[in-house]
Amino acid sequence: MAEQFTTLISNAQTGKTTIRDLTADEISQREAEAKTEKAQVKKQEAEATARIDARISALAKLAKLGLTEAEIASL
Amino acid sequence: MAVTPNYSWPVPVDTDYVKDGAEAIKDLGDAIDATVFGLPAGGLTLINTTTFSAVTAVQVDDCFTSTYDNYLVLLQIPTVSTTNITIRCRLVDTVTPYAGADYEYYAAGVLDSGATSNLAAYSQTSFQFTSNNSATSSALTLNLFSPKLAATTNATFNSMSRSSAWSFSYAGAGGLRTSTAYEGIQFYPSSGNFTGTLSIYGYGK
Repeated sequence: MAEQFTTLISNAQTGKTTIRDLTADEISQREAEAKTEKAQVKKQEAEATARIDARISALAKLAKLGLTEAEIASL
Repeated sequence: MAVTPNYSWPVPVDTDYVKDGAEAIKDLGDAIDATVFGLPAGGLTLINTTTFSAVTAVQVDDCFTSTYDNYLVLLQIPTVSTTNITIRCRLVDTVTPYAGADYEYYAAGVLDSGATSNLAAYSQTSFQFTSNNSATSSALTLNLFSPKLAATTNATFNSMSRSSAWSFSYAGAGGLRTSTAYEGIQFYPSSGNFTGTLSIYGYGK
């Protein structure tokens, strides 16, 4: 089933709420943004994973040097 | 008849007759009522709360007025339909969300692991206040400074969001660098739809 593109609009002065469909331009813009963002999110997740892996690796190397857990934590 | 030292409300003196007490109380009550009624409301005033379900955008028009300068926006999103998306925000000029490349945002981010993941972007077509929202809940507090003035609108924010792998918290600031006065605000997920509650409060001047 095709995705429904709808905006819920509430007017703060009148309290009236309406729902309208997104225009073709709005849908195109949204799809372009989503495409860009998908790559950005993927990159961010990869960076986060890399940082965690680097930290685990660094901690292991420090432990091999003879540092205790308390000493590593104090760094 | 005497008056109180600060608001000059009428009060009886020690030598007034007790039989005139009822009228004295009525006069005092009327004076207090008139004073309190005219006092500006302090603190926060709720302007609008909108709940929404499975929509691709939520927009509140006419929430920024000359009554307040600054606003607090609370957004709670229990569910989104697509994983690992972000929640975007635009200010609304009359009834049209502004989509020019004039948004900027900068935030320090911390993941559940303790690792950092910062946000930094300018010349964007929308604000980004959260990151990698997934099917679990996220929340945002946003302060907007003078959106109704025809000058740059500044923003400060805190957010919590969760992806399929990580939890993200952000503390940051941003701005919309135009000389336009905005009357409303729109939030939307970068893909799919979302469900939640949006509340807008005005800060007492």
